[in-house]
Amino acid sequence: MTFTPMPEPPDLMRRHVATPHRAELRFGSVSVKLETNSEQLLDLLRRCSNEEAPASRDSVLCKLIKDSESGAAVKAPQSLRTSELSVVTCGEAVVIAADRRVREVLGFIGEQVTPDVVQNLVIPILCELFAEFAADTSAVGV
Amino acid sequence: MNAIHGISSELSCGVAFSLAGRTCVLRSDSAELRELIRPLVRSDLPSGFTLHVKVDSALQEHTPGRAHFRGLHHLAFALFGDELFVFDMLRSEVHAAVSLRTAGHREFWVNTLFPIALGTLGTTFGVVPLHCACLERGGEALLLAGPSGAGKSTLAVALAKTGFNIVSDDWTYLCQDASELVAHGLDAPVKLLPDAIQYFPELESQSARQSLNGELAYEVSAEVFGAGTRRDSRPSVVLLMRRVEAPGVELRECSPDLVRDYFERSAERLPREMVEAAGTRARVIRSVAELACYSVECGGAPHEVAASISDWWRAKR
Repeated sequence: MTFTPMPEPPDLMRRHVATPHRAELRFGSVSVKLETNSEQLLDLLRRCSNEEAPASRDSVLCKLIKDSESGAAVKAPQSLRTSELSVVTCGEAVVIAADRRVREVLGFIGEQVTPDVVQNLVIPILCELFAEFAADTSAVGV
Repeated sequence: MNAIHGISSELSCGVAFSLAGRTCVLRSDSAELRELIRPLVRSDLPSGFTLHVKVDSALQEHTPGRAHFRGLHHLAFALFGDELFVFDMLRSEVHAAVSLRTAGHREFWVNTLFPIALGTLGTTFGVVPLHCACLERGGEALLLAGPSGAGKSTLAVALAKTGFNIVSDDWTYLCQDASELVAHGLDAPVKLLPDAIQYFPELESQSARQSLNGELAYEVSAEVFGAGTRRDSRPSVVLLMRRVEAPGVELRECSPDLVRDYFERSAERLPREMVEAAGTRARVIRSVAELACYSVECGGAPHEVAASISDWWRAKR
């Protein structure tokens, strides 16, 4: 009796998408180590940052996935906040979370979200989330 | 923040309840939700997750049947319409903003949210979700594994009709506390595809509906089939099943490696950062593979397959 070998484990949540496009940027006083699967997203963020800045031990890791399977409809932003997390969603099209303890910003942006929406909605959300790290330096090095 | 709903989920009122052999804690401003978990209240078990639920009256109840899941590093997100759930593997916490109606919707929490929370966070507190049914008889259980569509749930119901008790029909939650392997189920319904109606006339009075993975399916209580249920059991046997065209049942001892490979590949990959959780899962899968492992090729009507397996189980014991 033989069994067909199982395929590789599924990645239903798209946790393991490769993020080969990388830059070290500065937003306000916060240095951000950006990793993304989208060159276009990286370019848009680079244009909105103050400058390129080498990563340091208190840099915030920002991983953004351009998501081909997310819905296109961008809804009004909605946030959920705890003592250490801030999560902002604009429907399925934009889901971004900031974890102030581990200094990470993690998010998914629908592939059909236009550059205009990224520029005028998503990047301001990201900048507000980055600013939370400037206000909270207690977790540096955790 | 340009938030329409600024939701703080800092909630103080905590209620301890049990789920898959762990004590979880609910913190919510919803009296309805606190009331509906009352049957689960218990606090003498190892710690599980904490569930923070904030009711937002501006939110609409989601349409059943569809959700959007994403995850990165230690965080996972589930969007049911505008209702948001954040699963935090680092802190073993769930934070949620829900509508008033969802807060009081027992089936949503028991059938949908608790299985998702255990599936996402369980490995961080020693509860390992494995893709298999679990059936108990005489104080021992068999784990029935096989790829989606192999007919695990259909065979589980057919086995229940021969005297087995259903612990779970799709996902089983394994814990290894003090070297003892225990399989837990939830009170989630049995999920059967529409063609199961040809074998189970009890389904004629039920309606199939779209399930979370998009499949049309019956989701019904085991009681509909007159089946007994158990919350947990000690597994002693693993059956790795495969459907074939020809009627009959062929059971053979199989390699533990085959079983280990099945479980390792059928579970979603954990984030690379969760090293301890990955170790817990690997350890539990190894223990499962050390049980008596059999491959079973089966074809034909499920009640005939179940009768053969039931006879084999009795003879084996």
